[in-house]
Amino acid sequence: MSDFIFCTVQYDSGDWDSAPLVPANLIDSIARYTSISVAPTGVTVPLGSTELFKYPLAYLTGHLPVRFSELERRNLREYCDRGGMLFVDDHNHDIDGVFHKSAVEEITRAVGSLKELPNTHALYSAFFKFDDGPPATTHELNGWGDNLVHKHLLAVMRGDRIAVLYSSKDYSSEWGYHPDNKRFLSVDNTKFGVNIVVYALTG
Amino acid sequence: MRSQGDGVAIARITERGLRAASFALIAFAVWRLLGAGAAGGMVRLRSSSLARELPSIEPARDGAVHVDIDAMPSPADRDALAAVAHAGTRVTWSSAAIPPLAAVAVRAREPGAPVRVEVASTVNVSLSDGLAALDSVNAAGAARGASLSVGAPSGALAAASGAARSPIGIPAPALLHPVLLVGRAGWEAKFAAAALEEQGWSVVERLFVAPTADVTQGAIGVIDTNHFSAIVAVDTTLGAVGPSIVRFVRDGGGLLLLADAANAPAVRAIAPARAGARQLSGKHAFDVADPVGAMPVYPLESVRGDVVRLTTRGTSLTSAARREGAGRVLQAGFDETWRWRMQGGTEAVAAHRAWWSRMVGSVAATPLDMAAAAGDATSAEGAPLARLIGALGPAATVEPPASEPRRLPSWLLPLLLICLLAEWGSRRWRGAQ
Amino acid sequence: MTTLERVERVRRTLRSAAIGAAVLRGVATALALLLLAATVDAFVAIPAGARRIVPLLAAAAAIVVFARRWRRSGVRSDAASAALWIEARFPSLRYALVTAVDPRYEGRVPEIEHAAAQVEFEPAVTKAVRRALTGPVVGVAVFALLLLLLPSGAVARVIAPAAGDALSRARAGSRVNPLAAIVVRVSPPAYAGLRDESLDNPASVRALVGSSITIEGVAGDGQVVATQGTEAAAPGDVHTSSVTSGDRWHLALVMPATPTAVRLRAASHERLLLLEPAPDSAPVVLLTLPARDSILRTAAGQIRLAATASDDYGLASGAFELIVSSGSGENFTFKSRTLGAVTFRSRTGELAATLSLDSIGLQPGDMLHLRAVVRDRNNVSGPGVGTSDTRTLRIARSDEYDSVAVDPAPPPEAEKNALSQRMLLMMAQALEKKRTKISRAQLVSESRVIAVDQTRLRKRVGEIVFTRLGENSGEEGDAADKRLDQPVNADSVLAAADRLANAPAGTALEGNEDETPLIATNRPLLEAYNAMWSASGELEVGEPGKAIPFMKKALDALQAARSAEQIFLRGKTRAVVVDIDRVRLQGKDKGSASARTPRRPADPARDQRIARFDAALALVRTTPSAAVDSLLLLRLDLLDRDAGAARAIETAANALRSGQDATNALIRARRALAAVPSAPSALTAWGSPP
Repeated sequence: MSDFIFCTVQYDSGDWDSAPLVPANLIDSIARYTSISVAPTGVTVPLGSTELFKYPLAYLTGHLPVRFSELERRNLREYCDRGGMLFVDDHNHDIDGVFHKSAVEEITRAVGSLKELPNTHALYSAFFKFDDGPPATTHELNGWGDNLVHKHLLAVMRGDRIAVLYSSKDYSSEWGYHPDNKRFLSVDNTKFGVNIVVYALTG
Repeated sequence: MRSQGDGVAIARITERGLRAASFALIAFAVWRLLGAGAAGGMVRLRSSSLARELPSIEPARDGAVHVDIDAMPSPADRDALAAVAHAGTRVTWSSAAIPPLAAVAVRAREPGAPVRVEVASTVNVSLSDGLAALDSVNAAGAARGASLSVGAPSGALAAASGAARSPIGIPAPALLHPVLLVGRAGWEAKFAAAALEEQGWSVVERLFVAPTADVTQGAIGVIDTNHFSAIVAVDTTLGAVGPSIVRFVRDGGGLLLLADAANAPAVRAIAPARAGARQLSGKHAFDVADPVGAMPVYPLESVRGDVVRLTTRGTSLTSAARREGAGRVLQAGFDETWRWRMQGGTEAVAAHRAWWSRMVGSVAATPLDMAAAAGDATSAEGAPLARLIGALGPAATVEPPASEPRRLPSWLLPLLLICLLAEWGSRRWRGAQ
Repeated sequence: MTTLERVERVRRTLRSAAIGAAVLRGVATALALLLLAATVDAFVAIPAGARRIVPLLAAAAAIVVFARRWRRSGVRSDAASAALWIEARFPSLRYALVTAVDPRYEGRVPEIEHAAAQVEFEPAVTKAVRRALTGPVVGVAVFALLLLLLPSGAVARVIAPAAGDALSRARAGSRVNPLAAIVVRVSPPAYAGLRDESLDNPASVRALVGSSITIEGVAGDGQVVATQGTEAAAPGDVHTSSVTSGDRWHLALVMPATPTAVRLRAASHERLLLLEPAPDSAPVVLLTLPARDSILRTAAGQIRLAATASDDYGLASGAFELIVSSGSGENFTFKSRTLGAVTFRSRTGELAATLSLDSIGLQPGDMLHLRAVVRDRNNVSGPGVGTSDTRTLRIARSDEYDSVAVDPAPPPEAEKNALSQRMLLMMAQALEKKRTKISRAQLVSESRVIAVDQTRLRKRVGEIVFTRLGENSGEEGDAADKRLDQPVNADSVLAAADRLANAPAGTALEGNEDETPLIATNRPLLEAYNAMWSASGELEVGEPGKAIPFMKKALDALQAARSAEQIFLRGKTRAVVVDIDRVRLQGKDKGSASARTPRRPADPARDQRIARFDAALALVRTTPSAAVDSLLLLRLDLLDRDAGAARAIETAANALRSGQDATNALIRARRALAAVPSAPSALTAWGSPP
């Protein structure tokens, strides 16, 4: 059986590598809480590469404008049509910011319209229970970025499955620390990431 | 010197002769029509004209009938001949060359129940449905025969092989129960369930995520053939389902073991083989003709004696099946089949779905349809030559004596016309004189 | 009046009469053809294409008839023929007139003049003229009268056929089926610049979203109501009623955004019309300058921007969009602006502008994102927006020198003679070719000249390839105390290049764990560097033939480097390897079981569609019109799902509507709906093998 390998998407236009510790942190959480066979390190795959199809769950983040080439758009569309899932997180936490606006524009153009995901969706009970929907991040609560606590995540659906999950809550900052530092936290704030992975693996 | 009067006289004589000849020919024709086929005579027919001539044959109880088979008679005509034979008339038949033909339609035990036609013959077989020709099959090329999936045919199916023609009855679709999918949460289980559900299967699943947390779909309840058609194990993690599997299969259920699932203790006793060490494929692309060739595989080792070997890769056996009690077990050592869907060509998603559906369908249990089992034998002819032999006995090897033909000879009518026209012409000439 | 003059007058009269008769016969022929066509059309609708030919045929027939009659009239242009004509009717003249008009005897034989003068032949001429013209005049009058008696529309359809004249055949009346003949007039939105069109009795209408659709028919039994929506009446169905004016009814619709079936109902009559929206694509934009992403050393100078755009119906406006990102880590600021705005008036256009980097105020580390954005003229469903690919220009920071993507500045003076690898290869090949014709000394001399250029080129590649890298100071990164300060010499560089160029595939191009990587991760450039080194060595010793393979290898490697994926050297991401075994199931919290919902079948309605087609097939013999309607509705369901099957069904439906043999089309449509038979396979001992 193949391991689950965490994949970070590399795209040409922005700082795709702005959250280098998120993959390790989520890998650590998956191992801590589940029996899922997971690879100890993640991979980085260009969005326009056919290698992307080896990893049916991929993570994309950044601060800078997101502009896809036609090849990247085509690749992403095919990826989602076949059953892949892309998790996008705005590292700026700013719905007025260029990352959000440009990413939404590119995702809409490539895959489809982003709509609010109901907080009763199966994603929020895939492993841990999040009765109030997506957990807030410290950056939201501290007033970073757009100074908003976003109550919903956005999603592009394929049938009744999430193809693209979009977050303005800046989980990239929330989860961007060395996994060994979890011991200093009273509450593990990466549990929602486990839900995302479990949902992707079983949905 | 001959005078004109002599000519007229000759003409008169000639006319009388011609008139007499005409009368004789007419009498001969009448005699032939009335006298032919008298009681006790042999009647020779062609099978292509049976429908027209059968009604006049049946009253000839003491006679004999020989049928030249130039086209396979319809079941009704064949049965009528059998009835004539049973009534006492000797019925024989011969044929220049009717090839043997057997054709059967099978409904796949999958959602949508696509129809597959299996044919065996010594020559090419043409298949058609109610609309038009479907395809032709070189049934002689394969040792056992050939199989063709025709999906959803329009109207009745028929097979033709030379002069042999046979309608093919299509059985009703079988009733399918859900499929139970078990294994660890991972891409293989995810995409296996996706493929089966998208193909129309109802899937109940239990995927193991953590010791205290499973992802379930549907209620498992009692694992028996009244609730499930098949169990699919994608790895060795069977959990609470494991102990029920052997009984389920022996009672008629189907079991599909992927990758190394055959090594799970609960199924070792009924698995076709043990799963060996994982081997990678040398290929990187999913070839349309051989997509499984690119998948890693757990080769089948220590194969049981009653196994049907299905596919190989090099010297390794990659899939095999066997029967266990009333059920079937199919072991396919392919791993990471999900990559075919994600990384294959443009048709990979549909092909992956169809492959999974076929795999499960090949082992799925379906309730016995008593009506179909006792059903109408004539609705599925299948083997027309065999049925002809069964009804009338083997072909006659000795040519029977030709019987008096019932038809008038072909020269009779032209000769009659010539005589009549010649007499008329002579009269006219005489009149002109 | 002399005899000659009299005969001349007769000649002119006869000639005029012959011409007039021929013309009248021609006209009568043309009118007869028109009358015939109009009469046939009144019973059996002649296609518009055939009707367009009718006036031409009528004119051609008229000309032919005229020409034949004129030739057969026998009237020539000389007086003698006229005299003969008179002589034939007045034998008593005994050729006196013929002699009298003969120029040789004219005026010289008074007796002939006298004899001719005695005969009054003018009345005969008048009678003959009357007889010649009466028939054709009557014919023309009769045909013209019959044409006038026909309905005006019938004549117009033949004389001036036009799309949409189907209604001219039909007559209004209380018992007339108002849906028997309809004309659909389509007016596309103004922005598209398309002409209006009329369709006679269409089964489906394809037009741009927002087009005005006017359905017109002849008033008859009941008002016409159009229902847009599903087959069974549903609350969401839209109903539109017709308006009657004179003997026609009209009904106005708008082309919706999704394919829709419109049911027209009037009393007991029903008719189906499908509305298919044609897409208005967004403009296609291609950014031609700058041609690729770049890293600039300084934010100075000007950059030319150029783009081309095209659209299916017309461009409206376009501009270049710039976004400047400044900052690092978690702090970024952004500035946006547009440049080079232009309006368009056609379907294609170009954008051009010059960007002054000084005016933007770029700082080291800033990024500039450029793209061209073009809008089309669609003011119905919103302007379609087309964007080009984005070019990213980055200003290098002072503490890094990421020269892999350095914008090629103009070469300094000393290097202007550095020739490209391809040119060097050609020179070496040319030298090798003339090797036998020159002396050894000359060969070595020329070979060394090429070697110098090869070395110069190799050094340029070496500057690009070998770089200093430092650690990126991220949130959790180490301090910059592992910067590389190792001296670089040719031997170490060459050894490293050898090592890396010959490393097996998949080997990480990094140094030891404690070292910062010396060598950049661009394998093709390394290979080129190595090959150039070998080539220059051979050229130095006067062996251009032996150098050529190395030079080709270097050229191929440079080509590969050009098309290689972009390598980001902004900073090395520190890989954290999780000790899975150590942390497995050590989490304090436990997850809980969850329920999954099943996926829907990929095509749940497939079997239903096949059943619908088979049902329509059963109607073909008994009620072809119902079969056509069923097929058209089925086609509507397939438009977004299976274009091939939709096309096949449309072909079959059109064949049925026009009364042609639809057998083959129906077979193809049926096969398109259901899976085609798979290739035959051999029977096995176990159902379907994997």
